[in-house]
Amino acid sequence: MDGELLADSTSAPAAQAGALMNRRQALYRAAVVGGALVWAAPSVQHLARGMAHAEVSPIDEGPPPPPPPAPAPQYHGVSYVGFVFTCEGVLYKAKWERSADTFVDAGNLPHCTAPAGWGTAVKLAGPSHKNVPGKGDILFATSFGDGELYSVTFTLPAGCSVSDGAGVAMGGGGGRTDSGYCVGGTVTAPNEITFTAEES
Amino acid sequence: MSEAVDTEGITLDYAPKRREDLTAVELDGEAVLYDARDGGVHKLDPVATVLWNSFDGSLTLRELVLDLDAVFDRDAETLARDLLGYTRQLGAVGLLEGVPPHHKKKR
Repeated sequence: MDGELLADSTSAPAAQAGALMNRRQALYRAAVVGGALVWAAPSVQHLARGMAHAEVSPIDEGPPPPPPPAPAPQYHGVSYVGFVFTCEGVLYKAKWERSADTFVDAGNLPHCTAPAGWGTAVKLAGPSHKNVPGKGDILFATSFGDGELYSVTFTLPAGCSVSDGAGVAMGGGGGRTDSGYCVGGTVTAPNEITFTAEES
Repeated sequence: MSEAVDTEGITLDYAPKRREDLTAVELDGEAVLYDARDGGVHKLDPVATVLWNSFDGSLTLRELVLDLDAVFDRDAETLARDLLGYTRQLGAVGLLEGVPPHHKKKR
């Protein structure tokens, strides 16, 4: 019994002393291996995820927070459109303004690339849709939308054919701004073209 | 057994314990630790590696300072400060048992 107690009381300190020496020897060896017999603080290199780059010692700040989501744009339907069509062998161009709900001088189409043939086509003569030369009251628009005009269709008289169109849907916050996006025209029948804006 | 502690709560009386679920590889006296939890890889220099291997939860940092003091010709105060800093770094990146990883606030 006494022997056991004696053995316990002597072996534990001996083991601890051994561990202590081992640890100090290991530290000494590490210092020699590392060329660090002159003390330098132990260092940790934090290698980035996937080891793309290394950051020495400073605490990893973690990935940067994601950017806040961009506010959803608010669009206000089709603002204006231009299209090119042929009647009785003449190439015309027409520009329709939603704010006036009528055809206006087809001079230019800011914001978007003009439809093919826009530069050489004959302008629709005036603000009235009755002014298509030689055709009278032949051009009209029908529109669909809930408060805003998201889709507008133009129908030409039989025998006329529409070839290309482009329009703009304005966007922005509470009020109208100059930001917007282009709306291509879809030829839905030889004499019919539709412009559809994104609803928001 | 280390109790849960924040990195700022690590003092010389703290007995750090390395996380056992890390994958460690040692080459030429330098350990590379891989943390599968977040994919982090950490490389320790030779002295840091010996200290890391001593972090079994049974030795306090104060005791380790005595070891360092026996090997290096440097005042104990500096050794203690450096050891504390090193241990807190390990804790901050979540390599120690019971020390939640710490993310710095955005500056």
